[in-house]
Amino acid sequence: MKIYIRSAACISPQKTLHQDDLLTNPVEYNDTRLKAIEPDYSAYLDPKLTRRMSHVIKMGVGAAMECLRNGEITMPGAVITGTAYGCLEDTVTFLTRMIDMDEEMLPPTAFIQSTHNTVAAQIALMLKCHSYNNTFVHKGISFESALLDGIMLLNEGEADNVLVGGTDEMTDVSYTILKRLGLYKRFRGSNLSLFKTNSTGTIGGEGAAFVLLSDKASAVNLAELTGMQNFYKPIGIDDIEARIIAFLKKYNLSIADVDLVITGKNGDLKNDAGYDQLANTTFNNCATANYKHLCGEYPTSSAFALWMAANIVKSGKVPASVLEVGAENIMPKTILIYNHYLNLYHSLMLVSTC
Amino acid sequence: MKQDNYITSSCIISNHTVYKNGAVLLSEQAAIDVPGFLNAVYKTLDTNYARYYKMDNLNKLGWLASEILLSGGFDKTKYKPEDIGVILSNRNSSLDTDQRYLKSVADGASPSLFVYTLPNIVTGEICIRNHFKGEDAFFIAEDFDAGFITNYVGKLLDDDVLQACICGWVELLGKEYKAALFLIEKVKTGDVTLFTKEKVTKIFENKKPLQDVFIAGIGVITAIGNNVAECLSSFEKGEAGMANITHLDTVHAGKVPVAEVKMTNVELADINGMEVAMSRTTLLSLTAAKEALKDAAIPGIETLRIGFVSANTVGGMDKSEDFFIDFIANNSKGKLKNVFDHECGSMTEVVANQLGIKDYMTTISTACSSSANAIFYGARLIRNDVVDIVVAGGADALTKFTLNGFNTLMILDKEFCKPFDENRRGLNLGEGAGYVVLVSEKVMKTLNQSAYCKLSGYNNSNDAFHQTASSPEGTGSYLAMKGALEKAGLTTSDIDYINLHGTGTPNNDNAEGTAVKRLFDPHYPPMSSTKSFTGHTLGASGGIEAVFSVLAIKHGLIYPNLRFETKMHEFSFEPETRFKKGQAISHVMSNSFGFGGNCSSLIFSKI
Repeated sequence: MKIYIRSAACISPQKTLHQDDLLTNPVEYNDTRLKAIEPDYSAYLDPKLTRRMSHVIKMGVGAAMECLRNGEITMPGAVITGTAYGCLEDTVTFLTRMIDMDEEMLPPTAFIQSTHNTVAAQIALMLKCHSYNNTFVHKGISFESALLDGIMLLNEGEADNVLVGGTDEMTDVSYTILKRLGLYKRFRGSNLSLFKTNSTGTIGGEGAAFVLLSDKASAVNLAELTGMQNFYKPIGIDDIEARIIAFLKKYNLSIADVDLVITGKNGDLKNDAGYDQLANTTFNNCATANYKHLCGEYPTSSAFALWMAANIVKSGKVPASVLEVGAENIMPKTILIYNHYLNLYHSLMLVSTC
Repeated sequence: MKQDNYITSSCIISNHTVYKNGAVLLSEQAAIDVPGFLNAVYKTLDTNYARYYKMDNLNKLGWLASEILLSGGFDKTKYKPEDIGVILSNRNSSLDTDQRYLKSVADGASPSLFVYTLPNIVTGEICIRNHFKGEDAFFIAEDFDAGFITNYVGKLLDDDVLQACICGWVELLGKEYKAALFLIEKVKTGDVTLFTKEKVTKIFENKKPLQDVFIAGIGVITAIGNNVAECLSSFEKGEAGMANITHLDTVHAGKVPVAEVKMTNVELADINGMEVAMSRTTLLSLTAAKEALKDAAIPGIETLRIGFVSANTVGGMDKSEDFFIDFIANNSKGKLKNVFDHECGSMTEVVANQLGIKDYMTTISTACSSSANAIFYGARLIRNDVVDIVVAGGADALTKFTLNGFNTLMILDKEFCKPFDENRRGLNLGEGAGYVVLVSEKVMKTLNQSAYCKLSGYNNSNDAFHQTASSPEGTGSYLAMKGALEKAGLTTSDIDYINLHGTGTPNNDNAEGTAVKRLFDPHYPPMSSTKSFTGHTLGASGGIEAVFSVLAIKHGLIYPNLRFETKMHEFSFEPETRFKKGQAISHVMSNSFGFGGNCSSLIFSKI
C-alpha cells in the first residue's frame, strides 16, 4: 500500500502559509529566537473563538484548517497531533497565578486549555469530527509518533484522510529556561548565516505544520510518504549510517537513489557534528539541504521539514535558501529527511514523487 | 419495512490470488503476466467454455470471478432467469481494450477487439454463460462505492425487481486489476453475511485479519495498594483509598479528600533504587511498569523487540511547581534540575531507560483517556509488526496544578465521591500508575504461564462538543463503546462487566450513563466505577482500570461501586455495590473519557 501526502500546510517564522513561492525570500532575523508569523486567522477561525485561544492553539488549528483546504477535504478521518511541550502559554499562566494568588480565586480557562490534546480537540470541535483523535507528547519524536499512528491507521484500513500535525510554541518563559539550560547561542546573528557561526548553541523556534495522509492516488497529492522510522540512542556514527542504509534498503533504495537529503542541522557545533561526518561519508555524493535556520530548533520541527520536502517534490524546485550542496534545478524525485533531537532521538522520513 | 438481504458468496481476484468467501483458492507467482495468471485460473476451473478464449482481459477477469462466485452451492434453478441480475462497476471502463483497439486501427481495425470496447459486455458475458435475464448495469466510479452498491442492489431486491443479484467491481488496466463479486440473495442459507455497506467494504478490502494481542503481565500502584495483590485485597475488604492530603503542600489540604499513594517519594525512590529528586510521576510509573514486566516473565525477552508506550497528563509538574516558586520571583533563579524533566516524554524516557527498553517508546497525552489510548496504540504496534512486546499504560502523580485546576472547575467532591449516584457531587483526585504487558501471539506461546486474556477491542472517538464538558447524548462515549464492540466482533450481550469511567461528576456520569443506555438498554451487564476506591487518577486511570479489568477476567471478579445509595432518576440501571468473586466473566469493557472530548473504550476477552 502506498501512503500519500495529499496536502500540507505550515505556520512558521517564515511566510509559509501560502505556498505560491516556496521559501524564495526567507525572512531574516537577528535574534536567537524566531517567532512564528501569525496569519490573519479570521480566514479560518471565528474571532469569538480565537480571542481565548493561546498562540499554539491558533497556530495548530490554523495550519490544520489550511491543510484540509489545500487537500479539498472537509472532514478528516482522524486527527493526530504531536507536541513536546503542549500548551505552554496556558500552563505557565495557570502555574504563575496559582503561585501568585496562593491557590485561591483562580480562573479556570488557562487550566482547561493547558491539556496537551487541546489543539487536536479544538480541531475536532470546530469540524464536529467524531473520528479517532490522539496526541503524542514524546520530546523530539512527538511528530514522528503521530505520523506512525497515521500510517498504521491507513494500513489497518481504519481511516482515510488522516490529519497529522506537529505543533510547539516558544514562550518567554520557555525561551528563558531553555537558554539557561544552554540550548541557544549566546550572541545574536543572522539566522540566514546560522551554519557559518562556528559556535555552540542553536536558535529557538516554533511552528505548526500539518499533512493530510491518504492511501488514495490523486492528482491533488503532493508526494508519496514512502517510509518513516525513528531510533533511540544509536551507538555512534557507524550505527547511524547502518540504520540509514538499512532503512533505504527496506524500500529497495540505496543512497544513490536519494536526490536530496534534508538534514536537521541547527548551527550548534556539537549537535551538527554527526551531520557533518555523514556529509563526508554516507551523504558525500548527495545534494543536501537544511531547514532549521528558517524555523529555528524545536522538538516538532521535523513537521516543518516534511511540509518542505512534500512541496519540493511537488514543485520540482529546491529553494536556494535551504540548499547546502547541489543545484536548485535538480528536480528531486526522492528526498530523505534525517533529523535528530539532542542526539537521542533520530528520525528518518522518505518522501517521493507520486 | 425493508427485508434483510444476505451475501451468500463472495469472490476476490487480486494480486495474483483468488479468494472464495475469504479463503485462498489459488495463488500464483507475481512473475507471470496478467493474461497468464487469468489462464492459470481458468485451468483450475475444470470447465470447457470456448467463448473464454475470445474474451478480452477485463471480461476474462469478470467471467472467472463469476464462475468461482457461483461454484459450489448456488442453485440457479431456484430462481426464474428474469429474477437474477448483474450489477457491476469499475474505474476505467473498457479502457484497457479501447487502447488496444485504437492501436489495431492503424493495421485495419480489429472487430474482435471492437466488440469489447464497452464495459457492460462483462455483465453480458456472465448473463450469456448462466442464462440470467434480470436487470443488469455497469457503473463507472473512481473507487468502489460500497454504499452505492448496497443501496442500488438492495432496492432492486426490496422492490422484487430481482430475487438474486451478482454485484461488485471488475477493474483491469494493464497490470493493475481487481475483481470483487458478491452474490446477494434474500434467503438466509447457512452461514451467510448480512448485506450491509460495512460488510461489503470489509470483504472488498480483503485485509489479512489482524493478529491477536495478549496480556502477559500487569502492574499497578494506587491509593488502595502498592501492587496488584494489595489492590485486590482492598477491593475485597471494600476499603477506599481517599483521605486527607498529606504529600502535597497546598492550601486545600484538609478541605478536599484525595486518593494518595501511601508511599512517600523517599520510599518510592528507595524501592526502585532511584534518586528522590525524580518526579513522583516517574517513580509511580517505574514501580508499576517493573511489576508488570516481572509478572510477565517473558522467556528470552532480550532477543525480542520491546516497546514502552506510557501516558501522563502533566509530566514533571510536581517538580516544575517547585522551580516556578523561585523562578517567578527571579527569572535567573530556580533549580534547573527541577524543570529539566518537565516534559511528559521525560517520564517515559527515564522509565524506559531503567527498564532497558529502546526499540520503541512514545508518550500519549489525551487528558483522562491517555493511558487507554496508550494501551491500544501499543497493541497496534504489535499488530503492525513494529515490536513484539509493549509495556503500555500510564502514570500521574497528584500535583497542585491539577488539584487547583479541577478545583477551579468546581467538580471536586468535598466528601468521598459517589459515582453514578443521584446525589453525586463531583470527583476525588487520585494518583498512581497501571501497566499491562502486551505480547504477540508468537510471544504468548513461549510463556511459562498462560496469558491473562486478550485485548479484543478498542476504539477512540471524539465527542466534539466542548473542551471539558461531555455532550448530553454522550456521543463520544457511545461511539467509543460501539466501535470497540465492532472491532472485537462482539455484541452488547457478550459484555459481562463494564468498568465505567464513572468520575462522580454530575456531567460525566450523566453523559456516560446516557451512552450506556443508548447502547445496552434494556439488558445491562453489571457495572461499577473503581474510582470510588482509587479516586480519579487522570492520565493513569485507563492503565489502572485496564489492570482491574484484566483481573476481573482472571479471577471472575466484579468490583463494588462504593457509597452508592440512590439510583440516578434518568436511568433504569444502577451500579454493582457488592464485591463478587467466581463470576463467569468472558468480556470486560473499560471506559476512559477525557477533556477535549477524547473518549476511548477497551474490551478485554478471555482466551
